[in-house]
Amino acid sequence: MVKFFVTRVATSVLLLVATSVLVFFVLRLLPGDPIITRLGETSTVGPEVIAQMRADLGLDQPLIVQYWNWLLGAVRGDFGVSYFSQYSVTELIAGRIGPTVELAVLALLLTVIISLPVSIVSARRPGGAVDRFVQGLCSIAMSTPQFLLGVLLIMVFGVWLDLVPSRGFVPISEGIGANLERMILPATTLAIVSAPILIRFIRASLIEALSSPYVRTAEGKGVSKGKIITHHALQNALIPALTIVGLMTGGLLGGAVVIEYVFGFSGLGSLAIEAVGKRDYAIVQATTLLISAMFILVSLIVDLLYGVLDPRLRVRRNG
Amino acid sequence: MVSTAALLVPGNTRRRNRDRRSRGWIFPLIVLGLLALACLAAPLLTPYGPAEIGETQLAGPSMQHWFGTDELGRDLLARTLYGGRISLLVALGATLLSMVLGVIWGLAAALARPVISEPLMRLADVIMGIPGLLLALVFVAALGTSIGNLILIIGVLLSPSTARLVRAIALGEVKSDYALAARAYGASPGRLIFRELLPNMVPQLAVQATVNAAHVIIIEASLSFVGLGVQPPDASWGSLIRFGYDRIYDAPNYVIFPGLVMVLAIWAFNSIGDRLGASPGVRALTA
Amino acid sequence: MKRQTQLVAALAAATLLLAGCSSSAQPGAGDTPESAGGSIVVGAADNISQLNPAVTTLAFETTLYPLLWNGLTKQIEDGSVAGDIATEWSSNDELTEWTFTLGEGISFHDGTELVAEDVVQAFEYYLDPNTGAKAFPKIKAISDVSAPDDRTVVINTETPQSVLPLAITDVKIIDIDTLDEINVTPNGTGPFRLADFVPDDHVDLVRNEEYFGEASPLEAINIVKVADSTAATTALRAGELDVMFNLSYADAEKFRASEDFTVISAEPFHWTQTWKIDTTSPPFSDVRARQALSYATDRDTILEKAYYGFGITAPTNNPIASTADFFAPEGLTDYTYDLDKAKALFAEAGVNEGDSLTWWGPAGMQPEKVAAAEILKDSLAQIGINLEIVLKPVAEWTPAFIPTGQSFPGYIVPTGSAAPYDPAYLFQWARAGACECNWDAPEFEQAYDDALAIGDSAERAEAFYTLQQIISEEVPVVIPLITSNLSASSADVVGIWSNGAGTSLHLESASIEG
Repeated sequence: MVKFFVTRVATSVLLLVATSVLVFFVLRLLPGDPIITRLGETSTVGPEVIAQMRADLGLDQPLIVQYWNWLLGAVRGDFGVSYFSQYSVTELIAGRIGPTVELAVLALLLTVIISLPVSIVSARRPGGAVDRFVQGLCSIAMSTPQFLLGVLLIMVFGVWLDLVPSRGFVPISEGIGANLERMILPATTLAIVSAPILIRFIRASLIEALSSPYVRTAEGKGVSKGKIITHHALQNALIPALTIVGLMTGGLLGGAVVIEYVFGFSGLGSLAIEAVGKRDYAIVQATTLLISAMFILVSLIVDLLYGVLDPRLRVRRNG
Repeated sequence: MVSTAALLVPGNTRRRNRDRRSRGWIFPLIVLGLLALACLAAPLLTPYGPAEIGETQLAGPSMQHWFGTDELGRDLLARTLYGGRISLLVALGATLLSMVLGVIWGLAAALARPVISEPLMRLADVIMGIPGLLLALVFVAALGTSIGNLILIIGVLLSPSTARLVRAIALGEVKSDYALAARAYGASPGRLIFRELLPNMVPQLAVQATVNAAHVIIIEASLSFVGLGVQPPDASWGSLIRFGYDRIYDAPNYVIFPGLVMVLAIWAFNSIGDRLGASPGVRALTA
Repeated sequence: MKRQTQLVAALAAATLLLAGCSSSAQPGAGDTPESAGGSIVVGAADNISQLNPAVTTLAFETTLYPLLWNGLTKQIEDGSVAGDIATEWSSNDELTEWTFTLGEGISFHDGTELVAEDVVQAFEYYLDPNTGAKAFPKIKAISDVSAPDDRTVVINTETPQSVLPLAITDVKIIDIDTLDEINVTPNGTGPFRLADFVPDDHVDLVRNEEYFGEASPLEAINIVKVADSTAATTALRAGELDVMFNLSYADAEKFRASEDFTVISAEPFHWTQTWKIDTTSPPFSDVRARQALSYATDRDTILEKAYYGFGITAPTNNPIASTADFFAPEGLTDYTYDLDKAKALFAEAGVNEGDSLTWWGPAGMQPEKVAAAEILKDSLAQIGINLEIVLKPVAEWTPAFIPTGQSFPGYIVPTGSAAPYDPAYLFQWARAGACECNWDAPEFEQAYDDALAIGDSAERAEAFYTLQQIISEEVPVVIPLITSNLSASSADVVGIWSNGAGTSLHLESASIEG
């Protein structure tokens, strides 16, 4: 078990380093650089001044050297400063991580809350009217891009019905009511898009579990179907469901970019995108690394939970 | 991105038995076919050109303009149909690329020696660990927003997950009876791949292809929504929604109609995949 | 089942803790009480990435100028120049030495008193070429700035500068000693002080009770970034924003008709839309090709469809609007839409049917430019010329033509020139070395220098006629129309105006009515 844990962590660290290399060099592929972007439509600055500015930021050094300097700093926790505002990258990220994480957790919660009862009801009578209805809805929900759904929800609930504010983020420290008011639509959007996947999986697992001999025996003995589901089938179905939850979290942490855009959040995703647009390399590197790290961390936790919850897996070779 | 069909029903492994009810993929296929046909035959279906600047700006649906008009008076139905050509072209191209790349990658990762296969899988993990849209954005910013680039970038982006699926299937197949038998007969790896492995993977690959196609349309639309997809005056469904979003108060039809068409296409792809994959006997994919 | 619930609960608790911890030092828009002065929320789909006024490049950042800082002089709503830190000034007869007298009792936000030496240091910072100050072209004629005593500043210029007081309005007196921390504590002298700043997210300002000048009616201003203009319009309509900067023309048309909103523009219109072309490479090195392009520009349709009627067309390719006092009464070439003339002139310059030109525009912003491009494409297609529309994100768009001196044959680059409303500045973009069009016409340069040397008099306006005639004839850039950048506010917020052709919003006199 310990060996398993250690190897997984080691692999994860290697993955992180590899990710940082990939991101670093890919970024340098981009035409333009932060200096040009900062100067914008101003043509008042001559080429010599621009060259000087580049040298000041160390952008004229060979790429390997630049990467090495960055890596040294990163290991110490220093991710550099933004080329635009001279705020340290750590500070900038700290200011934006709250909304992203809160949104991810709320979306996950909502997804689970929606998925469990729905899949249970569907699994009780596969092929029945309710099941078919749910399948149909899932189909449509999965086929709607996040941003379209988000835009439509804003139109209906934010504008036409005026139930919630249409944009922005208020930290919990300023009022949990205001915070949740603004979180409910984006979290619901994410949940609607993610739930069908989970529903289908749990439903299928349940159906299979329900038809196993063990369950038939229990039924024969007179145990109610409801009890069977909750005490036996569900537990078995939930273990592999963890994998999906893990994958979803990754998607939520970094992939909620478009949602942030639509709902006016300032989270990690939009920080990264804007930084790409401005060629603020330092921010993009640190943010991507952080998102990947969180994703890897979640995978690690899921794997560990797997190992804890399913004794069969501890014996299995990692591969 | 979670590929739905890859997380398939745990079931029995008698994959040769096909459930008769799984002919359900025919209906969405027809829907998709009709949609594609409509886009291709656009000149026959509408008197307007997609770039024809007209008089009435941002008009609602009417007898002359079934979907309404845009900010330059262009007919939205025409733009949706012609735009569909681009969206479907990108979907086709990127899916093809992702499948070809994914199969090669996955097979190599399954069959080659560990010194080659391990780095290949780690590379797939690294790419999948970076938020997809972010990576797409960086590459689009680097290479440009031409349709060819979009196909290339999105295709490459979707290949790691395809590769993973292919590898998982291949690993399972390689241990099966018939494969062992073939090896015992002295069959070469090439023969094994082309005569045995690939043909047996076709059903799952077909399902993955539809899943990928649906993803491509969504990614392309998301890229266009943040302004890094298809650029004006070309239109794709995604960019139409982007421009429609700007005018959502005055002309909600601008968002709704192209949006419905796009959702229909995505639904069709997803449904084909679901119903093809509903046949029992495909293993669940573990992380 | 229990284990999962526990896990979920733990996760939830951890997140709530995290979310609460971040940005805890934020007096945001939510908790400012509606007292005597009140506060407003100002939004834009634009960034405020940093606070240093000298190196500002994003238009939204200029909103902070009159709020956090002062210059020696300032522009007021009617466009004229008034004293700010300086109470009076005079110059010698040659207009090469200007003496400014500073006011009393002016202090920085940290309490230190402002003396003339602070002004000198600020100017030297702006004049240093390594700073890359955006205001540099306006002030580069300054040769020396000195402080003979604590209340006097003397500025010497190399050549006669009749408009120096106007030229220095953008030089904000920043505290050079604390320059390194300007993004954390911008130590200015202005009517507001900084309460909180998160780059690209929000800026919170509170009223400076020790301000030396006229106090602002508002107690606080919260400036926020909104994801895009539709979200901003939504928020404005919903009352979540009081003011919106950078209103699209299409939205402006809707707001104009509504009683609940006010559209803010800088009038008279002087945001000259300049389509830059490379005058040193073919085909536009040939003046006939440039004129042909001007003839092929359907200005009326562009004004109507792309700009929704907000603006004045420039059928003589003149950067000055035809309604201006100093509009040249004669000697201008008329480029009213004429595709036949365009085709003939293009052919003479070697551009024939089947040839291609490129529209090189910014992606994801300014939809009016995209619409104008499509109208131009349609026009050119009618005479057999293909216009390829290429849109790039800003980081990739600008390097093709900035800095000046680059070659971009066959490209048409849509930009705008937002200068103070004075003929001295309305041609600045066309100067050799300043224009990305690489135009260098000695006749123009001479006429410009001559005009700048003339002080306020009847002759001054006439001196600028020549410049207009030259630009109209030579077409160094194509000018389709002249407009204003627009903003909007809810009707109960008054006292807001804009200048810089609408790209600078002034909130220092804003108040809430009723």
